[in-house]
Amino acid sequence: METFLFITTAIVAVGAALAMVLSSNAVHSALFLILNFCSVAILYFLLRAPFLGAVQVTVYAGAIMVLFLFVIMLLGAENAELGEEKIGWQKPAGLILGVALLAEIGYVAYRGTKLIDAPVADATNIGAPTTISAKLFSTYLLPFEVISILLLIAVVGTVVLTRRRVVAREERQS
Amino acid sequence: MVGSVPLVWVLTLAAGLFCIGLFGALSRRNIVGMLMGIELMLNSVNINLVAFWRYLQPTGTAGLIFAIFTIAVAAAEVAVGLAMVIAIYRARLTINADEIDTLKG
Amino acid sequence: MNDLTFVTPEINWTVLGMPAFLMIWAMLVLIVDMFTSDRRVLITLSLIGLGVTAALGALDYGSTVSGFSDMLVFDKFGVLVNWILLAGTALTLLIAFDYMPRQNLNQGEFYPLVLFATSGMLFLVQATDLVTIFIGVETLSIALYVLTGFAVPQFKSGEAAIKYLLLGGFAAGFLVYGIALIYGMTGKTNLAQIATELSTWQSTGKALDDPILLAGVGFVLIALGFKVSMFPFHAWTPDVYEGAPTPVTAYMSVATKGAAFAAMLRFLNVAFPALKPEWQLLFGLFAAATMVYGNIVAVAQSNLKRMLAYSSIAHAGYMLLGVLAASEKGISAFTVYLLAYTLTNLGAFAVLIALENRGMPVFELKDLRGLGKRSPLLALAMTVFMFSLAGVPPTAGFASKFGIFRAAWDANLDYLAIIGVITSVVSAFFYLRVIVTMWMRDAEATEPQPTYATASLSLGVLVAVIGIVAVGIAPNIFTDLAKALVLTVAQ
Repeated sequence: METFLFITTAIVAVGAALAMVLSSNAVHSALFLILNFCSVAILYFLLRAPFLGAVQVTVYAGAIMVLFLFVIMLLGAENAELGEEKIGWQKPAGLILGVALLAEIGYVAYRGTKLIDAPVADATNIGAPTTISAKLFSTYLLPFEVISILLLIAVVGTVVLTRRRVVAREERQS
Repeated sequence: MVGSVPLVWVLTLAAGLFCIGLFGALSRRNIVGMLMGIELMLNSVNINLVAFWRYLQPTGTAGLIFAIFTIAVAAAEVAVGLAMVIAIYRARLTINADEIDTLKG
Repeated sequence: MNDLTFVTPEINWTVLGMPAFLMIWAMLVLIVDMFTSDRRVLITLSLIGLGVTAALGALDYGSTVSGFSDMLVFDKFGVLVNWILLAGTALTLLIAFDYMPRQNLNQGEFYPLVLFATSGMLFLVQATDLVTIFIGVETLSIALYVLTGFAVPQFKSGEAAIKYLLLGGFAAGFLVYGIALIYGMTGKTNLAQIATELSTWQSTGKALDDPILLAGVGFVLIALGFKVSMFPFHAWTPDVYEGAPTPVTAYMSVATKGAAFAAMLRFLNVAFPALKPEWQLLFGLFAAATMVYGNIVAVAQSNLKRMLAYSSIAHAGYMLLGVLAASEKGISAFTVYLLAYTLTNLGAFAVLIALENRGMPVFELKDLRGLGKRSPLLALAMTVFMFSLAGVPPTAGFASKFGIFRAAWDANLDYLAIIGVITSVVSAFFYLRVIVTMWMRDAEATEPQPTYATASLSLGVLVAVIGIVAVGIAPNIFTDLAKALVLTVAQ
């Protein structure tokens, strides 16, 4: 049963990712990415990490993708493109890099001996929110706090970047 | 799932998604599309972390916690990236508006 | 199982002091910025914060403490690199002080953002766990993305920022992937514990060159290579350096490199001494390519900002030599080199800033013609900086390059040392060309360009010149200070 669930989820995830990359409409891309994120969340539930699955749905599929959709629809952001000089080499380079990496990782995954005789783990409740929060506020307190600084920087940065320069205009007129 | 699905399958899935994201980030010309590709990359790495935790280190929590940190960092990066998109877009609008003004004058 | 019980974390202020103080101070400056738009208040506060942070390092200098489940360490190497980063930041603020309003970039958030970026760097320098390395890298990166785009109504700045962000996100993907693979193979994220795990592998006869582990190490190094603009991963550097506001470029070119190299040093020497032959070989090739590429392409540049960008790629190659030497000598040579490079590069950019007019962001080499007559003091300072970048004897550049090459030679990386010397000779060509242009060529018969050598900028340039000459004349003081820097392996 779990094998079946895994295979189905994996197929949906890969299909959605491919559709995301290949579709030319940014809104469709975003919706496919949401589908991908949700199937990955199911994978987390299968791996007994329910907290992470919930975070995946709320933060990734919920918050981040809503932000994406919001910006796309606000700007009609299909137009937001980089300079023109970069198209020539980028697409083949991306393809070659992607395929080469996949081949390498596939090879590595099958040759890596440690993985094949991996010990089978028992189900524990480590992935539950209580355990994670206990760890987050003890062992990982420091990175947790610094992450909050990082988010603060992101907030300040967002405000700085998007604020209209009222001061500048006034100066110019005077 | 641990008993029935080999770890290698999960890792291969993660690697595949990572490569699709990599391809997307490199091949799209649209900035928003490239950002989405990067999101996909970071997301697929999380699958790796969780799978390694579940199969090989089930009594620790490092992999899980790291995955949560990655999500937070990805969110911050996207927020800044989208703010830049808006700012660039707005700057272009201003440029166009200036041109119109010049023509009038 | 102990995992499930809540352990009240022990907060070790010695370990946390430098980065934490600067983070808190940056928030304070951010709050002050809401109430006053007087940038003199902001820069004074920022400089005080940097000073106090440096003093916090001096308080327990010499002792080695690690804390927070060994995720962060306070040791001599960390404090020395932190001091250099703090000095670089202070110089950056000085040279940016009059530039930002001149370019119509009045927003007071500049100061807290620079402080935040620096605090991320201090954190990264002291990090001894893959978790803290990752978070340190991202903290400094996100602050830098914003700073790059600080001049955003100007199209180039915005484009540079988005390019930097996309490639940075890319690098972040590789970083996490590498960390995931290392974690999967060793089950640890702590650098010292990884080393212990690998030595048990060795004693049980398990092969160390597990392809997944090697791929993980490679991915992490690729990501850090992005940050220091090592050769195959340098593509973003010239565009981003050209598009960003000049003080931010100056800051990025020295501080980011310093912090990322320090992290690389710890990563390689603490966690993977067992794989030393592998990474020395692979990254030796990268270092050679970086030195050759950076110097040769720099020769062809006529735009000064781009020339300095390529020259900074080349200098990344030289610093990589110190990292690869992986010896006590190499580490102290790296530290001295970082100090010399920080002073010199910031000084060179400061001269560019003094010449930069609003709406005239392009620096062609010919803009420097006749500078020797127009403003001899600036030209003299620029001469010192160029000599130092080229590595001409009485300057810091010479002393530090000498140390790096000797460390590489002693570590049996003789081919790298030779390539380093040859490329230094090549580099002298384009650095000396700047000097010749300043002193020997007359300005074209146009109206004289104004220069903006304001008080704060002159102070910054003066400090840089004094520092360069001091390190150049009496390098022993600094090499002694940096001597016997052994990277801490947490117990």
